[in-house]
Amino acid sequence: MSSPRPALAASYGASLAVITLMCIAGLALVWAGWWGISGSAPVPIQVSYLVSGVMGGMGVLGFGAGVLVVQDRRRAEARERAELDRVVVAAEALVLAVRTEVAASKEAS
Amino acid sequence: MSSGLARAEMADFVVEESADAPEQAAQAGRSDVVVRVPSWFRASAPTWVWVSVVVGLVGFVLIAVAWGAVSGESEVYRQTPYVVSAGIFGLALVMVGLTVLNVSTRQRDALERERQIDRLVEVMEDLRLELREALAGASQPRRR
Repeated sequence: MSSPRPALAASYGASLAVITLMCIAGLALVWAGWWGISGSAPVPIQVSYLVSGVMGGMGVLGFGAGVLVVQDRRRAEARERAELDRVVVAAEALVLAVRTEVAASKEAS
Repeated sequence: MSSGLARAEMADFVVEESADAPEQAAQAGRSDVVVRVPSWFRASAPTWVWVSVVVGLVGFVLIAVAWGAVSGESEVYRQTPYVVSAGIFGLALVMVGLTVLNVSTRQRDALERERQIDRLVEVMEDLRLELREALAGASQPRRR
């Protein structure tokens, strides 16, 4: 059985890059919201920056962080499954060895 | 039970029955409920991953709508309803999408794990049978 690790690592790396970009974009949006609010005195204009920058940024940042948690957990699960696969393969080999041994002993007797 | 689950996934519908016998369920004052769930509706179905993505995107669209509406108003008392109805609700939808994604991926991983355990149990059962046969052969006297 081939190890799923190289493909796993490649897809994880790609998703990590996307998630990192999302988190950076979220932080940049929050910073842009703060920058807009601090530079404008009228409250209605500040509210616009609050919604577009801060809320949008929090949404992107929160979603990115959440997907990072999901991806990390899935990676750990995939690793555990790969380990369990090795146990299954070893058990199958053991059954085959016992079967061969039984057949050989029957022929000998 | 777990191999039954794997078989059920291939079927169009999943039938979940009460674990107890009908008479036991009746004694306990419960009806023997049979729930039919379409396979695409199960928590482990890929549908939920797409649902979570769509819900998250709707959340972001709502935030954009809130920004569009808020920037078009010059009075705070007119902006506030948009902030609450579209802005905060959009943010909440993003979080809901994330939660659905988390739960559905968890269920999918659990199903995969269950299949692996089923396979391991099958192999162990094979091993048990082979060993029993081998021990039975060894205990018999050899013919000359």
